[in-house]
Amino acid sequence: MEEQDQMQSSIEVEEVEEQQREGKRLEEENVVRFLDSLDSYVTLLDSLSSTLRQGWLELASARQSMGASRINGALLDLKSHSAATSLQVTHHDDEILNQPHFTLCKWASSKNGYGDEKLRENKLQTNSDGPQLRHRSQFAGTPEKIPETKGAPLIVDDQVQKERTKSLSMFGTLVSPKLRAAQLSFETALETLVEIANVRLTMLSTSDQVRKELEGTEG
Amino acid sequence: MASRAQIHTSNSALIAMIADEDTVVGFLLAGVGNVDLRRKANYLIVDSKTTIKQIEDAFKEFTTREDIAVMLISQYVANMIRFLVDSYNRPVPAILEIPSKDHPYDPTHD
Repeated sequence: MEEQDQMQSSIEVEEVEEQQREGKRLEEENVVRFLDSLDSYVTLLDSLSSTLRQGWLELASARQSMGASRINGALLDLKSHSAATSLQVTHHDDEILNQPHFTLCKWASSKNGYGDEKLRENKLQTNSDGPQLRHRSQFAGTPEKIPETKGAPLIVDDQVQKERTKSLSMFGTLVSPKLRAAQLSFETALETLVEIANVRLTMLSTSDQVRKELEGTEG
Repeated sequence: MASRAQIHTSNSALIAMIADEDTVVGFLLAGVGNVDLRRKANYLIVDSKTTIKQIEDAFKEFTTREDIAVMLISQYVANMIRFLVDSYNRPVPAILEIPSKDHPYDPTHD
């Protein structure tokens, strides 16, 4: 009888120790996740600063060649129009990360018949196995990913170029190549910003969990 | 710190901006500009004539609009309404402080 009681109590002690180890492991995972997201956040901000600086420089160069009167805020289109670049907001049902997720949709147009929505998945946080389309203009010098469907990439690229041209047209028909370069720089900055937004949410969420765990330990 | 507010999913949410002219123009070139039928834009250009009240009103408007998912605000502008920015704690729209041409990013303020 005593031996049975001793065995029972030792099993219970082992279970408690196992739970404590598991809890400790989860705490450490949260801390590591927080530190990783913080590192990513700082790195991305640095990259964003660099990209924005390039964009501002190109914009200044374009202003110098085209004239200050041709590139200023007074020329902005105040007629009703929809954004060509928008965000898709989805919600993770993850127990650990209960947070929204942003995906950039560049140059997506609902008015055309090709259905060419451009999704730029976040490299740091992707939970979907959906197709990734990356389209860059001829100025970027990077080879484009060609989807399997024949003819589709040319149509999509053409549509993207039309959207880009339409966006540039608020500053005139003939624009400086520097203005086109600035457009690409700010597109890249947008992609970085969406990544920053996702990483920031992860950082805040994990920071919250770590704080709660610390308060639980102290209490 | 993000609170557990109700998060709306959306297929075409906007990016709002409160920043200097060059930054706004640059992002408008990237296609984020939106003007609705009431001629309300999703951006505010801040210059020397912009008042603090105008910036506050724009901030409050953009953070209450359901069609906006992310708001970009130049950090020097955010510093003008710091109490308002710091008291905001919802996950969407996400507020991102960005550097401006004349004011580099300062992590201590973020």
